[in-house]
Amino acid sequence: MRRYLVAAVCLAIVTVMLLPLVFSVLASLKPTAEAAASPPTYWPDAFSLDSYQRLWTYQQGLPTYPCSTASGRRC
Amino acid sequence: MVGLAYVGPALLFVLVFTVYPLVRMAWMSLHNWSLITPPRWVGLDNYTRAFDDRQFWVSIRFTMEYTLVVTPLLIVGGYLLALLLARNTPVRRLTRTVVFTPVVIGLGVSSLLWYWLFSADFGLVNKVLLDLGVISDPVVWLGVDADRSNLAIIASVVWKVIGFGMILFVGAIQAIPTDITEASLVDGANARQRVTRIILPLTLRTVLLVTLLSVIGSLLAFDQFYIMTAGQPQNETATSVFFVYLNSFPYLRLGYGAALSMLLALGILAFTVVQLLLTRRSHA
Repeated sequence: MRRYLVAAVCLAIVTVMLLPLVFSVLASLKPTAEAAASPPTYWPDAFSLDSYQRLWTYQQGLPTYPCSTASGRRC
Repeated sequence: MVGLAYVGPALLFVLVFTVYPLVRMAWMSLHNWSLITPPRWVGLDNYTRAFDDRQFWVSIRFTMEYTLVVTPLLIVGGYLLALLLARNTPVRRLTRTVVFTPVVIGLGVSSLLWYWLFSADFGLVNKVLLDLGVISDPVVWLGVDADRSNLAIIASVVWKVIGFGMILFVGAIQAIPTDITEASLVDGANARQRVTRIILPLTLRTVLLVTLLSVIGSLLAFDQFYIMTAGQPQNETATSVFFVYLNSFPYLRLGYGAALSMLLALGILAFTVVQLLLTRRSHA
């Protein structure tokens, strides 16, 4: 009995702690329009890697920043 | 001489990265310096000005209130989690790992994540609360009402930091010699007695350490407020470090910002000394 109580409490804790991260990962997989929808959706209607593709072109592009941090010069 | 050579690298590091910036800050605090014009000596003017600055005291007060709410949540919550999760079973190990996960995320990243979750229109916090029927209209969490903003930020900080205290508490609880626990079981101590008479006294040092670290962390809170409210509404959620930042950079009052930093550092130093004296006396 006690074992199940502990397991249930643990499950509740895990859910609360993981939800923000799960929502964040799911949002990253939504198409751009759906990611900006109001009210938001829990589960993506359609999966897309748009956001990950945009990483390479957004502002200076993702690789620029670790490169300049590591080298201390323009990349 | 040989000893000096041994401590040399560490000494050099401290001199370059702690002593020099501190001396430089003390020097800055005695000048009026806008970064674009050369610094001008003003003596203690910056300090007298700080004592008359209402917004400075408002920000100190707000930081204290934030600290007074967030610290007990982190300590009590972390300790309860540790009590629940200290034994090594697969379920507990997994839960421990999950609770600790947010600690390894940067505070800036987690603040951005929660800024999005708490957003009135696009945020999933409102969505969940609406779907559960807790609220009937979307709530504007951040930047409009100071208490509501504070509540949202505290929730995000607890999520982010609670695992840190928990891990240290779990370590302390596991370090209690098993013969003490076994003796108490033989003597017929119940769960509550074991917690209050054995576990709590034997982990008191760790509790005090985590309290010290988390109070200092809360008094220096900046990232989460900078990202999630930027001091809004009307600087009501400006913490003292945020106020230092406002003066130093957007307002270009480097000297005044340095003076405020010095006062803040002295306050935290005083608090730390008191706390360490208490720890030494309790001698747990």
